[in-house]
Amino acid sequence: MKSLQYIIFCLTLMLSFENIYAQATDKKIEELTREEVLDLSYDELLEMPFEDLLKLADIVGVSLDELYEMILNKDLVSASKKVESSFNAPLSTSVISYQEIVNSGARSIEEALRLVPGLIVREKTNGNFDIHIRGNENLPPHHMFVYSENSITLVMIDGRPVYNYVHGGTFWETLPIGIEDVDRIEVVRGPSSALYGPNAVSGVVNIITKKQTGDNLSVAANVQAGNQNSLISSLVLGKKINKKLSFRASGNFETLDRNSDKLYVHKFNGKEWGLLSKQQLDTLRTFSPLEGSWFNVFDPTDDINEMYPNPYLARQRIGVNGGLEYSLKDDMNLNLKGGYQSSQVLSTTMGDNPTSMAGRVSNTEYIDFNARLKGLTAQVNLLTGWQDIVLQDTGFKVGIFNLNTNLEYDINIGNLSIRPGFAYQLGKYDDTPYLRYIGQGFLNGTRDFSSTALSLRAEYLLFERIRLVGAIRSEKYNTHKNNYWSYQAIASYNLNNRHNFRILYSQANRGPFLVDSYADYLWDRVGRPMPGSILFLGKENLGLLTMNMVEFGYRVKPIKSIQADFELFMNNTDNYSSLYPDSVNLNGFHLGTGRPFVRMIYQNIDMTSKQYGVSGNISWVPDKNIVIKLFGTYQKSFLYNVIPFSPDSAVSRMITEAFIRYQIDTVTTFSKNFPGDRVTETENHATPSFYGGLSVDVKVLQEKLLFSTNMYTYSAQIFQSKYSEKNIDNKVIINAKVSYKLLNNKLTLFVNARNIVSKKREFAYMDEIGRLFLIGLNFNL
Amino acid sequence: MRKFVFILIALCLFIGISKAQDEKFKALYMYNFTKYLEWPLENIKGDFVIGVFGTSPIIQELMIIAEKKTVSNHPIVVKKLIELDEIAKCHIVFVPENKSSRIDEIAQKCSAKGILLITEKEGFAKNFAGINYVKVDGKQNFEINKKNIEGKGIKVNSTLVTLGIEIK
Repeated sequence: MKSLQYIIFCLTLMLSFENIYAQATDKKIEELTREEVLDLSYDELLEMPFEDLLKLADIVGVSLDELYEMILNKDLVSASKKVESSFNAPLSTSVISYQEIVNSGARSIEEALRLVPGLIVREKTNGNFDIHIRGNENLPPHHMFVYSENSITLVMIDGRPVYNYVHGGTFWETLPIGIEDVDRIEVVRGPSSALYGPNAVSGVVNIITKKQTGDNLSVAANVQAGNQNSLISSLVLGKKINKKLSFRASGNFETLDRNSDKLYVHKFNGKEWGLLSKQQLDTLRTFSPLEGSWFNVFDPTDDINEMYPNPYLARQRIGVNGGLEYSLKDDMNLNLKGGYQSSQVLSTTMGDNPTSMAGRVSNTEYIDFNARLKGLTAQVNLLTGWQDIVLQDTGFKVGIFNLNTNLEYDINIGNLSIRPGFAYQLGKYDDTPYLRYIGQGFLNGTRDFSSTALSLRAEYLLFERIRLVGAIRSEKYNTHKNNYWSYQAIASYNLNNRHNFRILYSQANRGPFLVDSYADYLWDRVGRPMPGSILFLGKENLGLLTMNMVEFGYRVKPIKSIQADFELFMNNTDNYSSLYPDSVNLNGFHLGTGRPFVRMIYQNIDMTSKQYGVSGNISWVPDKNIVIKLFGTYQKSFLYNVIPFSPDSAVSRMITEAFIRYQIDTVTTFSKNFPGDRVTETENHATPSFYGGLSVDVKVLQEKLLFSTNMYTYSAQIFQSKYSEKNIDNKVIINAKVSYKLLNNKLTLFVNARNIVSKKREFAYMDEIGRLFLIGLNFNL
Repeated sequence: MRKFVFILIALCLFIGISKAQDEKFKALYMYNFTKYLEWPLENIKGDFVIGVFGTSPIIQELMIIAEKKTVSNHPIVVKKLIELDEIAKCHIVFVPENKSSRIDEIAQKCSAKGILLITEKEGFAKNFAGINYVKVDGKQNFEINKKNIEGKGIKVNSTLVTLGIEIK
């Protein structure tokens, strides 16, 4: 009896399905849904008139195959300077699209880099991130915060470098664009100077902006707000003026507060002060100079209210951009962009301050012209403005002028393609308008930096499967006598378009920095603890940091819906340079008539860094509405011949040594003996041994509701500053975003939660980063 | 974490998986083209041969259609072409995208009367193919060059030209 009931139940079910089926085919062609079309049988399709069949193709739209390609195998340009799929790129690369960035809930371009394998991303204060590719961080250790800045990655917007040539590094908040301007972010891991010039040492982050595609006016607006007074907004407009000319304009504004207004103060007067309010910090200045230690006291002329106008504010920035694109033909177009940005952040200091935190203000304008005429690519861009990178700390405010020109030509002869190139870069930096008197700054005048380079990239396709790539670049810096050479040699093998193997060797170098080359600054420390005066001298012709890398890569598409990438890399970096004491002179200190004089010079050190690592990334599209990505890097870094003491400690020891020598021969009053103790080999714990992430995006309810969750994690590290050592705990950062589309997909409402589970500090001496909740909307016409 | 994975799996099952449709539509289009074309009498004897150069998933789709339909009452035979000489016996020759590098020699062999050359590579309709599959905004469509078809003695019903994208 039960089995009969079961049979009746099944039959009824089948008949009802049949009914639904019949209803589907009774509908007009135009009214069918995508699912209904996909369910039609061959017999039904073959009976249809051709006109109807064409209409069905319209409904079906993008096929699953294309979807896989779009999600898993995006096109990129940064690896070979021409369009190719991610699968075929001859370098370790990752591409994240605008849609992926928006889906993940990332609040900025910096935060979006947490979706990229091989990136180490730490949040210092709300919205301000420290970003490194693969590692080699905070070198040399036991030194100023400036050496914790990433000066070995080149960040570009459409090929225009955004880099601080004065001290080295990238001030991410000074990018004039917001997420709405981004089409995709391409990341190349590994030395790439042969393609992009100096500073592309650990890799390249190339942010490609959107182009105007539709004929009608397009408007996109995005705004989200949440706790800690967070507000992030942007607006983009675009229109085709005529068949060939189109324009785009965009603006962005954001403001974010910290979760505290306390500032971290280092060891001072024998005690580590920790978090103090601005008022408490100010009282430390009243300490008698004799009680303080060598360097950690404020300049009496610094105004604490100017240095920390609003200690609650983490980040505030505004940017405006405009662009025109003129398309002559398919392979000929001209592009002109320009814009302005103004930003202020509270982040790590670059100088020698008693606190780890300092403000940074930037006001810059840019213009970028790009022309593509058949095989010729020409780019000219200009950046002007000023930046005060340790707010109101005299000497750190500089007027900027940066000119970049690049010319490359593509020649294709059968299976061989050659790309010769010429590049010229000019930077002029002037601190005099911001000094009360000459001698007060690091540069004390207008300093130039220029470089001229010739490059050649050649590629040969052997037997239609093996790709051989070679690139070489020779760069002549005005500060250096000899040319610097960078290379790339790659062999890759594509098997059935399912497996791609590559082996590569590359060498890249960091460029010279203005302060390192030209510093000439006498710090007269009247009314302060010893020493009496310190002379900081730059040095031209310093050996430039160079990295050599060998890498093996493997990509596989086991089935259409999965793509996996693996990288095995070994890099060796040397020619590090930093500021250390060269000599000390007692200057009468031994007789009680004066105070020691110290001479500090930017100099090369023997230290070398070796890194071994393996990276994996798997992307899976189990269904057209689900995307899953899992990635991670495991690495080990070793340092050789490390100087195990800080420059301050070296000065102390040298003064002591001078004193002892005087006591022995009653004549010598100086020391040029920089302490020789070194640690021959040690593991570098500044870089986490493991870092990676997982992201899952699920669309339901006819693709109107999107659930997105992503996790980013890194293992424990040790940060060694000039003052002390800090342990950074491992952290698991979990984010989630839920968005709902309305009004025919024109409007999206969303709820965004960042850092849901942990409130741990990510960057030593900076804020504990906890939960942030935001709600917002996205409007897309 | 476990709860999350469970919910995820449940969602996967609920949504289901859709199939690749590209090749299916291309095969259906190909069959429909024959309704608007007239091959010269001397060529159309016995089977109507569709030759596909190299391996392509379109072969399976065409075979399904071949079992169900005919062209002017001639049974359809689908052939996988390996040698260029096999082209002479075909009425339609289809060149998949991955074989596009050999278009010059293939087009030469197709210069004989009664062979419709169909390709799927951007720009091929101009100099080589009579019909070229293209994707417009992600949707399957086709370009048609009347001259390249009539030049082989195949008559073209002008309706077909209006249904596709005309290339002159």
